[in-house]
Amino acid sequence: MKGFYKRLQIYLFIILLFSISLFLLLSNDRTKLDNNPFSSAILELAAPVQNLTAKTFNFFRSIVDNYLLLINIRKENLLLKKRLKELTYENQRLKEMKYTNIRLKKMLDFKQSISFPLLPANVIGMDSSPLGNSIFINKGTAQGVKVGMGVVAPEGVVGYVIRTSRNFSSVIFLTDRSSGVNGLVQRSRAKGVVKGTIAGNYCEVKYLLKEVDVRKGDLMVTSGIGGKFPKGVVIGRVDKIENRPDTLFKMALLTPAVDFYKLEEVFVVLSSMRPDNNTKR
Amino acid sequence: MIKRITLSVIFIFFFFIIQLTIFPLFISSYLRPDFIMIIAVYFAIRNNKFFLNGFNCFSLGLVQDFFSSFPLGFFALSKFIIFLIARSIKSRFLFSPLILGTTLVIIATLVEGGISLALFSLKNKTDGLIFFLEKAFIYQPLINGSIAFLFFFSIHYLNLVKPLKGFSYH
Repeated sequence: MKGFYKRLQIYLFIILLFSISLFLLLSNDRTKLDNNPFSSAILELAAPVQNLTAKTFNFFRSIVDNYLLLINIRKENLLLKKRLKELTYENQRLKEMKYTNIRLKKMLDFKQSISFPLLPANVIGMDSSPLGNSIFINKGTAQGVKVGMGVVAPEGVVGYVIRTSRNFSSVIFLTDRSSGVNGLVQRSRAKGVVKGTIAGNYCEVKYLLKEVDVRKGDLMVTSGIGGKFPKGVVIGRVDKIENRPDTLFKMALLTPAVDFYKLEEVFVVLSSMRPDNNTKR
Repeated sequence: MIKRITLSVIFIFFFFIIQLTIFPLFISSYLRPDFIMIIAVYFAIRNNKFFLNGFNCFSLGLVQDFFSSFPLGFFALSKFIIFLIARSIKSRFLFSPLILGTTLVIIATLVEGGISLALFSLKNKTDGLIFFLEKAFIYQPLINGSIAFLFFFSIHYLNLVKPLKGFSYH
């Protein structure tokens, strides 16, 4: 009898946890971009630690890069070493300043070239699963970020905001299976819809009419339709074109312009509209 | 009990920070180890407490859901399924924690890949299938398996995984 109750408890436990997870999965299939208070609270709690950890590790990494590698030198050269350290540090600092300057200039040029108001943000973390495609940024509702807003980098389109808390947000990549943006071929102005795939590292251009002129190497830019992204932001380069005889459209594979795994700073397109509720995720 | 829960929370928190923030700083690639998976397997096999470990795995998945682009509930479900599979394998085969843990992490990665593939198929999102299959069923299990080997190798010598009652490794 005791064994029966024990087994019953186990089965009830399994059924309960299965039911909760299935309920969450089915009730939250993201047919619309939701932003419930619970997920905001979790994001708000964890993101400051992520922010702090990222800063601390960057700090220690710069120390390791700049100083610790120079420790192993002979004693009689201490003076020279000290001078070398100073110069190396100065050199590194100037180099870093130079690169920061180049990067910021690039960002400023990009910001000035876009008529939409842009909010700069730092990337503080990545998706919890290697199969997922999202990042966390250090700007949230307090700075005017809303769910559905587009996110861009100087190189091109990054994705859009899927979750926000007061000071942090989660951004899904353009290459995610649930992302999509209206684009056009820069050279021929042919229109198509750029969709992410489950592969997560390239996109597909759908609904390209068969007669339109698209070639390998063509640059795709945003069309501005939908209001999420300004017109003319680079999406990526056409890599391959598929012309299937049994369909009305041709399809192209696109390599995104942005390397999502090397992003440090991004811009949130502040005036982008909230997406429709039927945005399929 | 409170001490154990606090330790579990700190442990989970630490590995989440590694997964979300520290890994991306050093590994700028779409392939990176899944520490959360390794921890889920560790929770599943560390001792014989079914309810506590099951709840830990479920909670771990639920927290992971909030930091992922997957729909809410996906990782809670997959981590609980992984827990049940891990328990079932642990009770049937008498492996050492090192082999058991590493094998289970590889199996768990394949299972999670399978569940996500099922989810994509349900939603008719199967573009880029070949690349996904390569990543989820070849590269990711190998990466996770290697890291799991190091992880279980270290905890094996700290004796942090308890064998089933009545079973001795020596």
